[in-house]
Amino acid sequence: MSPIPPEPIEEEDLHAYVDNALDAARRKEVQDYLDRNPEAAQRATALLAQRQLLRSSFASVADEPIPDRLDLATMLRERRKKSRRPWQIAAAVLFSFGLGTVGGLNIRDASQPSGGIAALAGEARTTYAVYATDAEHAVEFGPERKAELVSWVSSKLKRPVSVPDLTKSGYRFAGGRVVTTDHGPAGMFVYEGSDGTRLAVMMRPMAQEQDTPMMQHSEGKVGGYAWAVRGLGYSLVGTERAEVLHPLADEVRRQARAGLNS
Amino acid sequence: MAADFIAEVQPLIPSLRRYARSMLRDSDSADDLVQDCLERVITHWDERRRAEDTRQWVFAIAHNLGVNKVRQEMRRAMHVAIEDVDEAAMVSPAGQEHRVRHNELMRALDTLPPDQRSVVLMISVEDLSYAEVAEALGVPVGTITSRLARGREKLQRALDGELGRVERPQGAPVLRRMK
Repeated sequence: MSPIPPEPIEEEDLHAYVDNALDAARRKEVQDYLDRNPEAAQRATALLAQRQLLRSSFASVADEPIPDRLDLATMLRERRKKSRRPWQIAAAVLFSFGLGTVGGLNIRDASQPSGGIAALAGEARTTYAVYATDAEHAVEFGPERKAELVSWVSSKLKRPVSVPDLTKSGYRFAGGRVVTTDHGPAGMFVYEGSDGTRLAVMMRPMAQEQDTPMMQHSEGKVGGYAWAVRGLGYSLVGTERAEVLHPLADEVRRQARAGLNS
Repeated sequence: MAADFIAEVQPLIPSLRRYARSMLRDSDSADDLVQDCLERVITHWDERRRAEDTRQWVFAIAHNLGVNKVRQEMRRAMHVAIEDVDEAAMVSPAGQEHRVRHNELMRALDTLPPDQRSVVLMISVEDLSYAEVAEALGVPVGTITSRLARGREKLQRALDGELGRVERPQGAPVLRRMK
């Protein structure tokens, strides 16, 4: 005959018994109790039967093949794709149109360029914000594929172009791509300073203002210089101060005038 | 994030799908719930406290989504009569008898308040411990044991009622006594 259990057996003990949630000592006490109490044993039997019914009824679901939409690797990929795009667009809008457009033209610096060069400058800033700030996908062709890039840009712009060289000014050519603007395709070349700062030179054909003196432009954090030489518009843009960007723009223009870029 | 995330969460998916199906019955809604749950797990992965807690943490999310969804359905009174449910949407439509019993079970589960239903299922079917469920729901273990007891009691009454109407199995199953 078993000894009397020290703790009375409660309803919750029966649940814990069928759920295997008791430690060994308590489990033994409950078993002994059930042996002596047919009513409690019947109660435990019913609980166990219910548990078994639930388990067997849904068991097969866990064996079903998992649908594609619940594949974690795919979900992660989709999420990355989704999250990158809106950010880029938001950044572009913020950088290029931010205060000037929302607050009205009166906020714009009176010395900002207008007309064709202004359009070019705005496109260059947008392009910079979208691409040059992207850590992984700034360029479509890296520096090692410069020749391919040049022939791609040249064919899109329907005129021969070459890549401005800013090595002597401390900026390494980091590749480029063709981008779209409101005025057709443009070439964008990206440069990287020794501290990792990036700037970009964008060029596209100009319908008007085919030869235009250099103008400074900026909006938000992005700014630079824009000009046109023999029908090709240029804009050098970055987040560096004007004193840094100006001599770089001068150098690009010098090469353009010397016929090195076109 | 990707590697440890997939290694820890992927093995939980069959269990999550089963839990969702037992909560919602319809397989598409159930997988919607699982997808929703996994999206949240991805978003909040960095907030998970310890790797050992992943299972209860994921189930806490599934529980909240599941309970809300069941409440929503109850409010909208959009419960589809069981007879109208496409058989393919049902769990294991093996034999006629099995299906009848399964339908009774689902009807009986429908009588439980959503949080009781969820606790009964997480413990009886998904083998979460009382402590894990308590932790996941942020309530004392005592609350879980009483919710479980009330839920099982209600479920049993509903099952007895249902079975009484249709077919009562021959004799009650016998508890195998452990010596």
